[in-house]
Amino acid sequence: MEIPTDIETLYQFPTENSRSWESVLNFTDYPYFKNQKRFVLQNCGILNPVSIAEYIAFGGYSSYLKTIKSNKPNEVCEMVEESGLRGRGGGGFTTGTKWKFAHNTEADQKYLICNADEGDPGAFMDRAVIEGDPHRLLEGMMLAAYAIGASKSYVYIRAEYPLAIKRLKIAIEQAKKYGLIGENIFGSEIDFEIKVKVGAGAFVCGEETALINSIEGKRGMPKPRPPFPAVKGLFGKPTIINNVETLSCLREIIPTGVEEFKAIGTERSKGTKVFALSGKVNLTGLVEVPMGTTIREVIFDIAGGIPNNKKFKSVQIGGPSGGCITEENLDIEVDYDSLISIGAMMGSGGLVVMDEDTCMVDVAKFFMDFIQRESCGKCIPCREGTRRMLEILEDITHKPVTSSENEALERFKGVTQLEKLGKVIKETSLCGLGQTAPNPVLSTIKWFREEYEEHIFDRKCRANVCTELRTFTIDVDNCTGCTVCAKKCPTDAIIGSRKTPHFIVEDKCISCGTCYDVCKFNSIVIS
Amino acid sequence: MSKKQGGKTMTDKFINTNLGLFYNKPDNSIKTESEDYKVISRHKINKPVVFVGAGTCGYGAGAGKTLESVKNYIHTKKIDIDVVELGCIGLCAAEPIVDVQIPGFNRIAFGHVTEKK
Ligand SMILES: Cc1cc2nc3c(=O)[nH]c(=O)nc-3n(C[C@H](O)[C@H](O)[C@H](O)COP(=O)(O)O)c2cc1C
Ligand code: SF4
Ligand code: FES
Repeated sequence: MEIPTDIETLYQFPTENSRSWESVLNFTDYPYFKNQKRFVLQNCGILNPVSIAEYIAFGGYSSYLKTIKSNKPNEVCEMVEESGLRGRGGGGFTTGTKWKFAHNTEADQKYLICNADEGDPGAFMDRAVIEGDPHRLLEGMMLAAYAIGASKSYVYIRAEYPLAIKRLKIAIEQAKKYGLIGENIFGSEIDFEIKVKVGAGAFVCGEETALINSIEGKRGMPKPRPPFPAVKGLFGKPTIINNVETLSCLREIIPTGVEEFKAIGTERSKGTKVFALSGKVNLTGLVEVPMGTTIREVIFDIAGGIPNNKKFKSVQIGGPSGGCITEENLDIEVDYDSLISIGAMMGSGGLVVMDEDTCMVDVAKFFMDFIQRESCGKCIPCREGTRRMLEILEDITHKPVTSSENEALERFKGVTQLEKLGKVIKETSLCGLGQTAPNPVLSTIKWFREEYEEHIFDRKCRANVCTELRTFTIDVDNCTGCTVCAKKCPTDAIIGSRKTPHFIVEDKCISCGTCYDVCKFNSIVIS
Repeated sequence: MSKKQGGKTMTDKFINTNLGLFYNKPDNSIKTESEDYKVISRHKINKPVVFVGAGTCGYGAGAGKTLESVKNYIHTKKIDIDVVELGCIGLCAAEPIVDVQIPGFNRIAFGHVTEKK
């Protein structure tokens, strides 16, 4: 049997009593996977996600059934606390400790909510876990619900994830069919119910109190805490909200994996973390690495570095709430506390890689634009402040109305204002959205201040991304007077008669670059 | 989706027996030497299986068309092959990824498999 040669061969999975293919790497030796530790993702892309039989054949649901038979709920809370598992949804709160609040609160009804809102642009870890291994999430939810004493649960998932919703619903039906969801599960007197709640996909609905409001049928707006949801949450009852990835770790920890889990990672960050890599990187995709791996290893050793021999510039971690990691910090370890020490954060796991062709002011503008639209509007600093920050960024990156010193001074005040405003918004906003909204701006100012200054004083964008800052002139020696550019210019900024060199009227030019694109004689010069 | 060899009843029995054992005999683990385990875990297959990476990233890269052409191919040639839709393995840059497992051989993965077979 031979492999066709016109096809790209990746790797093979060694199977007992089967012949292996010559000169094809094993899955675990394949460079992209070799330095990963696939814990949460172990079945993703390998097992059939909608086959409960396959999941069970690989040990699925054994953690849950063994636990409810042999361990008390408080023991499960203890185990998870002992394992050091921290929330993967952004905050990094110790999961076992949070559970204990709910466990220790007396109530006739408690709830578990799985947060699958994943609103951070650039993140798709949770979607991939649900699409690739929905039963793992369900088993994690069963374990969490048992530990806190919740008989009812919700998965809050965004409507933009139709395939994930479909596979999740199939998995729930299968679990029901075999008695894993329902009443008196395997005669244990435990009842468990899961409902899927599809959200409209607002970023703020990922915030836990806004999410609760949304499930209750109210507007998705955050509420002040305390009371914390663990004590008084959904419908006023104790409620635990956990992220998809947090829940998907559980079956590896409970009941027998605590020591193994603790052995992976750093002093205060245990286990693995899944990252979604996108942007200017050779191998975009999902990566799961042990905590303590450096960002450099993730981007260069696993994902193959930057394409087209371009230079690495920065990587945005934690999306619109996070910050950037520059070349000098690339050896930082994946660890909740180390990342905070350099002004970044773990976030949910989006990693957007940027090369030398990226303008950092433009990146900051992108996230500010996102945040400014997603603010729920409850707090004035968040609603108005983020808007004002965006306006300042737009001033910096747009064409000046005049070229007076005064205007440059106003713009320079812009950066100081950005820093001041950022501080106020962080300190006075109610929820995490506002409290972290200025981060992308503050962190790019911190690490790339000279780029802001170039935009402000020299009116230059070194990456040529802020197109309005370019000035166009015509090289009279090359210009043949063909008139093509003059005909195409949208503002009639180019003058000159046929067969004589043309000229661009600076005041009329909007720096769109059309003339540069259409000139056949390379006579348009950008500076 | 995928039809299990031996029909529904073997799969049902496998699921019910093992879930029952997990609960009632927590020290017990799956019997990997049993026939139904081998079939369900695909340690033993008696017809070829084609796995298509069909997560959202796979579909974005054209896995939908790949899947369709695989199914068409099987239909027109009237060959007996299992087709399984998978989630994302993480190497989204190489999607659509198609794995093929032929009886007696290791499962092997191919990258960038657009409609051609
Ligand atoms: C604006 C905002 C958006 C959030 N979006 C998400 C999200 O999409 N998914 C998520 O799991 N957590 C999100 N969080 C964090 C949740 O509020 C909450 O802390 C988390 O779901 C708790 O789960 P964990 O302890 O397992 O991390 C968001 C927080 C804020 C402030
Ligand atoms: S900080 Fe922003 S998003 Fe959060 S409650 Fe206030 S206005 Fe709404
Ligand atoms: S008008 Fe100058 S080259 Fe075309």
